[in-house]
Amino acid sequence: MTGESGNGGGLYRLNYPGLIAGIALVILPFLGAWWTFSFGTDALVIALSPFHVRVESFGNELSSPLLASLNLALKVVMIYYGVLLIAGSVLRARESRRSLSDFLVRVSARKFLWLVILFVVSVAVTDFFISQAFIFMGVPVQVPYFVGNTQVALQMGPVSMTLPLIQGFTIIFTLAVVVAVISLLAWFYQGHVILVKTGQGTRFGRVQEGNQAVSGGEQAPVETETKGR
Amino acid sequence: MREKTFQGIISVIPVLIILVSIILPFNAHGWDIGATVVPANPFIQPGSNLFAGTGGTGTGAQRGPMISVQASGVTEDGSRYFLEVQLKNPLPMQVEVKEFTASAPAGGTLVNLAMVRPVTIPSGGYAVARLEGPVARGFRTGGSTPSASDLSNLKMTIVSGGIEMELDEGAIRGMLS
Repeated sequence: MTGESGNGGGLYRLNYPGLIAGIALVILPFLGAWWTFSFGTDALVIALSPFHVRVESFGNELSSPLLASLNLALKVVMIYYGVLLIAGSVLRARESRRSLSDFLVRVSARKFLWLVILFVVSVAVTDFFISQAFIFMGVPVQVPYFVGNTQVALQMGPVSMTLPLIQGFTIIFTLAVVVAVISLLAWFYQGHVILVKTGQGTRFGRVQEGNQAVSGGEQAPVETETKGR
Repeated sequence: MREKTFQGIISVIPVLIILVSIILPFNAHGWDIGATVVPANPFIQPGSNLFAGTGGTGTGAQRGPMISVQASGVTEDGSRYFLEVQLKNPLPMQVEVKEFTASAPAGGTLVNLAMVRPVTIPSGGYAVARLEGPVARGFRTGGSTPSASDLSNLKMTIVSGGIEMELDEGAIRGMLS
């Protein structure tokens, strides 16, 4: 593939972090829950992600039509942003489409990070309300935030109950954080970084005004990391 | 100008998707906020009563008292007195009875009994638990089987869905009638 400008052709101009993040954004909505919370073993199981909310009690699923619809919408929107990010990252190879590429990456790259932050905040709010519910019932229980196991002892008249409470983030959430970081990196990469071919191999160079990379010939890139090919 | 329009459309599509996802379920549920937002609870159906067994208004296995004594006697070697107790579960989930202890009047004395092994009662079903307790040599039952209401010092530990509940006499007495 030959690019329209120099510096080693179009492939060198692709936004690689954007490509990776875009593909991940398309896949991530289908991978499962980010955070799980349970009372007992199956008395109450909550498995949350922005794309799916599963609430089960004794094997029976409780579903809210509004939440299900919002989850589906978020799934579609995130795939949409993933596709935009891929398109923007690929269009970066064509200098004539550079402004469109910048727009597509700008509009899509940071959204996922906000979604992750919003999710973490909503988990904290959920934990807060669970704690408040116990306090309201007169049970002095400190429900840990985000991650942890605890035993809740309840006395209701002639009945005393012991409720194991287990919560934690899943590996999918870790993956989501990594994708959010790569997305942010893609946004930075779009305006500032480019791969350049030098006498010593392929390196990262900094994009200057007019989208020209500081590179070429014997001139060393301003910011470099050796990534020989 | 065309580019601006294109960018505007690209930016507005997610907002439209989210708006439609909010409007559609409301429209499908006749703009009833409760039905749209709150999850449908499969446990509580209109007109149902979870604890129907206690009031004798349930159906099938739920009808009648939740604890009833089926049989009593002395083991072959004469060292232990036993009761076979039927336990009903009116709840919509499986319950394991881990421990069950009681005192029963037999042979002119009060015999302390404990469940031999845990029993699992399916949702809406029943199970028979065997309670045994040591008795003195030459013990005679007197012939009659005590009723559930004759039992005293009742204590039960049940587990359901990983939640452990200890019921003392006050709670269990409510299941006897």
